[in-house]
Amino acid sequence: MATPTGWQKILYRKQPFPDNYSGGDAQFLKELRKNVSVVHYDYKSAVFGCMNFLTHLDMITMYFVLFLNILHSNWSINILYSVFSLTIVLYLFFCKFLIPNPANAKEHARTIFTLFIFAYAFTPVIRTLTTSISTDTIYSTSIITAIFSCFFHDYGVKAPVVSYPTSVSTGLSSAIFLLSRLEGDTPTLLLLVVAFTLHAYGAEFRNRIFHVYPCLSSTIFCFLSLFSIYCISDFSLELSICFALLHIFILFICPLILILKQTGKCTIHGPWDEAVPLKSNT
Amino acid sequence: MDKITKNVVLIRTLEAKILLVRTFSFTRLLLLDVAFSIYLWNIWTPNWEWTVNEFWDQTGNVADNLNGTITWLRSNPAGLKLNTPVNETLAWFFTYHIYLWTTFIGFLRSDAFFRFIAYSLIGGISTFSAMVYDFSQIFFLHFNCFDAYATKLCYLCYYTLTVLWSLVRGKKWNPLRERKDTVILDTRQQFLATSLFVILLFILPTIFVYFVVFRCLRLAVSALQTVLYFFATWPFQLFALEKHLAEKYGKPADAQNEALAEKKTKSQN
Repeated sequence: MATPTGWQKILYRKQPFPDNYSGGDAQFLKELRKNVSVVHYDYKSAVFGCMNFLTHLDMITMYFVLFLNILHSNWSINILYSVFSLTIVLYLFFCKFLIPNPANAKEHARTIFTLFIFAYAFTPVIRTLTTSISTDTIYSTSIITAIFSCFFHDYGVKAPVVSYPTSVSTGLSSAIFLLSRLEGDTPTLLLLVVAFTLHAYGAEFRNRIFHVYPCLSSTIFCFLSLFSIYCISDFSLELSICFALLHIFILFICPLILILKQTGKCTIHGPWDEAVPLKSNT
Repeated sequence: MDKITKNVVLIRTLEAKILLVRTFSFTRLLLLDVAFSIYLWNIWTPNWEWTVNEFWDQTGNVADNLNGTITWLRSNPAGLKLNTPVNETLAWFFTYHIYLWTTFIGFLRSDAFFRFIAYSLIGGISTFSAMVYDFSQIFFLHFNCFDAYATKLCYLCYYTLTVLWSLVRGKKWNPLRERKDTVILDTRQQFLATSLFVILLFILPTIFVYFVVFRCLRLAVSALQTVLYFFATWPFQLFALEKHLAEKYGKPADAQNEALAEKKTKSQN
């Protein structure tokens, strides 16, 4: 057997090198690896992701707009019935086509029945819950809670901050805070069901829609953005302008910042890293 | 019967007096007790009717003041924003109990009852105080009931809120491993947990206000009863105090006893 001339990373042969020898600088630096776990985004996919986030933001904004219009009797109750029916239709569409392993109809009927019964039972309590608290306090608390819900919401990206229970709970709480301003039980019940469906099923529904039907989702997003900006302009023109600017900033400038900063990302891995066990294939 | 004999101050004090009546120092205190009661009787007897009427008027005033407290709670006391339906429900509940108590006190409104208390003066001012204390337990029963109701309700709300607070964040207590574990709830459970949490969170301030108010009332009543209890047991307390001081600085007394013993021994010899 020919004797190798250089150092080898083996232990069963006695070599004329110290025990902590690792092959010299050339061998040591050869194992240097950069940006192992980085995901490269292009501008188009980044904008697409921002659409996902803005769709949820628009949905919450539309919920607030719907509540205010029902409260001030600007819109008829029939619009609320229409929104409620649309929610039920979208829920059935979601159960039928978007769930990977759809459960049987009996389970869905049981879910709908249970939620409706408990919502109906809780409506008188919820409607009188914050009656004695001032309206400004309720609005600010509701908006803050909704913002918390957006923080913990799932936008299709794996992140440690995402928490489904926290997102659903804070979202539903923000809706419950609002509903004490209403006079009748029927609008309260319908808005409660719409809010819960939006926060509980909205994430999965929207993520799958954006994944399966990208073009349709983009079109719906454009329409939804314009419609929400228009609805906000009914209340305050300045607020709608700010909302439009927020859309432009998040949709076009934030992805640009991500792309520009992406080139500067530099994470170094090498032999000096902590040893971690290899992931098993199972 | 055991509960009654254990809890009634009159019976306990009478039994203790019977046990201690042979001791000279205690009998001396008892004589002072009876003398003071005779003096009080002489003062009190001419104004018998006025005292009775004044007492029942004060009882009516207590009921009116309680109703006033409930009314004050009903109208958002101290500017607090209480939940109106819960406030109305609790106020109605306690008002109805005040009505029940007033009806119950009405049955006690008779001269026989008052004579019974007055004749207890024969046994001394301490026996009279013990009798008054026992009857005050009956008269102030509703204060204890109100405090118990409010405390139970407040604690129930608080405990449920702590459990639901974990639940809305997707956590629950694992009693087997004694730690908090993550739990995945389905949609129905999430809805129920969040709804109940928000409802109890907004109801809790109202219930807490009732708890604070009735706890304060009960503490005031307890302070009054403590004073009565002292007057009911003052002979025993003075007797125990004298005994304690005699034991602590008891050398002259012991010397006297030893001297007496020596004298007896010498006389026998």
